[in-house]
Amino acid sequence: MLTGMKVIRARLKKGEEARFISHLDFTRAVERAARRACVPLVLSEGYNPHPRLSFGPALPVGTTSDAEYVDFYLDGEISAAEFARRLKPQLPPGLSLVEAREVWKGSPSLTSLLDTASYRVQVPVQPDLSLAGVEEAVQRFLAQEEIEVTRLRKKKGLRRVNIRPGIFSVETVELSGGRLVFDMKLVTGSLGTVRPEEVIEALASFTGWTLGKEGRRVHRTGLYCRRDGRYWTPMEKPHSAAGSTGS
Amino acid sequence: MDEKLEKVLPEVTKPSRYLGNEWNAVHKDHRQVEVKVALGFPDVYEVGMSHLGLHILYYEINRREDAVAERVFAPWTDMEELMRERDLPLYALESRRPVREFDIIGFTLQYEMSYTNILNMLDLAGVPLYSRERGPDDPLVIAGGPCTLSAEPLAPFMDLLVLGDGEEVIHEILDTYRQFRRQLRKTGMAVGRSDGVRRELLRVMASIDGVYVPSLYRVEYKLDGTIEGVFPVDPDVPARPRRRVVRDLDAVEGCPRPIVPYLDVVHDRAVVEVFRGCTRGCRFCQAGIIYRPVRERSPEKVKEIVARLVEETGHDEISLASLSTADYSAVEETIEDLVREYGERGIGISLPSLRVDTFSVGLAQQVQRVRKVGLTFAPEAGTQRLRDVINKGVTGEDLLEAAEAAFRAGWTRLKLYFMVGLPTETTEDIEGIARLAYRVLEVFDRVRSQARQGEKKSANRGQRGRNLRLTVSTSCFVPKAHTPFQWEAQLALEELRRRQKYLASLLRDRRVEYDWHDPDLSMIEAVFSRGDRRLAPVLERAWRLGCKFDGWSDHFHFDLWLQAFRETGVDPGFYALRERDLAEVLPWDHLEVGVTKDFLRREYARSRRGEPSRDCRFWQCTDCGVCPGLGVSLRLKSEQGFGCGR
Ligand code: SF4
Repeated sequence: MLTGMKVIRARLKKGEEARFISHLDFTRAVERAARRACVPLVLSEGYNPHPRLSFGPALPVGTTSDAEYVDFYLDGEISAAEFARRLKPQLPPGLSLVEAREVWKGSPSLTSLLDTASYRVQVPVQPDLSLAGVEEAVQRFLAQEEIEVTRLRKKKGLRRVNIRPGIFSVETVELSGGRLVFDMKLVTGSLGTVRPEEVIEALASFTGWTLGKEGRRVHRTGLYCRRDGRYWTPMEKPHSAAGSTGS
Repeated sequence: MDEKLEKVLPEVTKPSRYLGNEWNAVHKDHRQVEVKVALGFPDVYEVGMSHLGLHILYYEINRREDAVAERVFAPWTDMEELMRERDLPLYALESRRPVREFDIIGFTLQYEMSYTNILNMLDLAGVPLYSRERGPDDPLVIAGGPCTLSAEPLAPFMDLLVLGDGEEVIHEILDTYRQFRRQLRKTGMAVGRSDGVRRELLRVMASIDGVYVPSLYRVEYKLDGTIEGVFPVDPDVPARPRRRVVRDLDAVEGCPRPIVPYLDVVHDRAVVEVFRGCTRGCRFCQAGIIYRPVRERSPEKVKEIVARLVEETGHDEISLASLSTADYSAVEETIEDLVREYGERGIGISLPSLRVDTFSVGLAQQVQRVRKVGLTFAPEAGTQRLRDVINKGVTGEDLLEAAEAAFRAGWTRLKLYFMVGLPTETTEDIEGIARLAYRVLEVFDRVRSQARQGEKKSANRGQRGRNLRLTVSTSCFVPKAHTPFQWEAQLALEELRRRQKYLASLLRDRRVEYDWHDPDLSMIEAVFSRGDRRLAPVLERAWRLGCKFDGWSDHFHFDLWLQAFRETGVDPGFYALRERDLAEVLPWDHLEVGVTKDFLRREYARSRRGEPSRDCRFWQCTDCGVCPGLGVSLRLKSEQGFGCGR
């Protein structure tokens, strides 16, 4: 690391207006916002220097999120508060800054740290379901040892995959107005990724319910590091006993 | 509207084409403005957003308090299908209001092969195609851009065309529109309440310098199909509408606050225009005539605009745009200053086009980051004889020296651009292209072996180790209006193909890649770039048969075009393949571009004698007529740089 280099970790929200922005377009938009904000970005070496930013796991197009994390590598004295003050007004519509903190010393990169994503999923359902019935069915669904889905791989074609180990939890939040709302925690990142859509599809075929495609909404509520049965946000240093970090 | 759209968006590719919420997009309350303009670009978002003219007009209109400009692009085919299926009218991106509710729809005519998209967009908008069919509540359909100077095939569809530079005349158009409507309100009528009123508005507009209202001119034809004359319908209408020219580029801002797309568009960078116009005088080149004279922006103004661009966009690349940036008289000092100022911040400078000489390679080297993408040179023709015919002031030596400089600087990708089918071209000229390519390969091998000898463990080793990738690219010559070649015939398709094939057979080195443009497309382009009003029905027919996005090779249907010609009884050969008599009245002769027909005839004659002509920037005035004709003058900003390092 350069002397005086610091890393500020920011959490951004991707709202309705930005939900159709792809991950690549999102990274470019953040990079440009940072340049407009005149924060002291560290540049990579070479003919084509670009700012060093690193992002968490990609968000599928069409999904909103409360938790898009970005590490900004910065050169020189700038506090997290000052950083936030400059960046906020430069974010395009639909993107907003929730918090920014200097990361703890020795923090792994976001991609190696984060392994869990939590989602709130809304699905239109057939009218004859009851909340108790849904909860019971979800219990049975999760009690399976294997949950197989079909994935289309670029080169290998169709493949059957067991996603059960990647489903950490599924909770039924409510059933109202013809919509079912679930909260789920799923594996993401380098260990593999289970998409909320896959869980919904698997649940539909397990139960035989008709779960509407149009009007389905997926919202990422958080990204975590799963350690010792606890979920840590990347703003806190995972630890086993008491004591807190961050600044 | 919004609800329908929300349902459609998840189903289309690249939904962010249709959102309108990019950084710097302007959202105004429609109730607070008097004139609403939808700026239509007849191609897909990524192409339109890369076009500087659109950003300039957007900026100019939106800085007025009384007006709003919003954008609309040609929806991609998947989006169009859903829009038609679900009754979604063409809407402007920012407000998501239907385009037909706007007062003015302003199209950019950048390329003839986008004409069918204009018809398609009007249809999607629910606006009648023909000017004469539009009624009380329909918007005024106008167009600007280079093609308007020879857009007769579109004439019946357009209420008015803007000739030349748009950034000043647009304000006069908006003022006139507003005033006209205020007056009508006083008398209790709406714009276009009756046919008479709409026509009256067009008449008022026609008096603006730079505005051409096609419906106020009558075309008469001779028995042989050529034009007898184009006549204003009455004496109040200007006989020859003139092209508008911005005299001083320092007096206009360009676009210091361009919209920053989310999507990766064709040219993903901020653009500052360093000069407008070009007087190198290549005889095939329309831009070299219709943007005359050269007007340079001062380096101070350029830097001022760049500073704002950097601040407002966050782009990491600034492009110094013009028809030939190495010709900018202050190019070296400007690049030096910009690299010094922004290099450390990771913001690079790019040069969109290079001249074929070592000076240009030096400039490219100075801005460095272009190196990975390779260099492109355009000698245009394979022999000195033919280069003299077309007045491309480049020699074989220039090319080889430039290539050598590029190889020494570490480039290993080079593209050479030529035209096939140029007037007077012979087999020898085709062979000349191959010969040049092989000489470039030899230069590369020599540079490499020298470098290997001289070099032990130099840092550049990896770079030098790579082999050359040379691309030879040819397009088919398309004679264009307002050029010294406007009288020329295009070669027949079979002949163009034969020559391309012959060239391909000569380029048999694995380091050389040959790519060529489809002659079918060039032929349709040749028809429409020198067409008259009798082509309007062909255009409509082709569009009804399903032609759109014709500039995209996988969407171009030559068979449908031929069918459209057949069904309308129009012979495409009359337009593409016929050599015109020098005395013939051409369909665009009633439009005054400034350059005289006399000059074009002189240049035509010189081309036939193989005589080059010189550039009035570096020599004396060659009497093209534009300066006295339009009351403008050549404006250079620096004495340095003349002679261009040669
Ligand atoms: S009139 Fe003379 S100086 Fe002006 S652009 Fe033409 S040739 Fe150049």
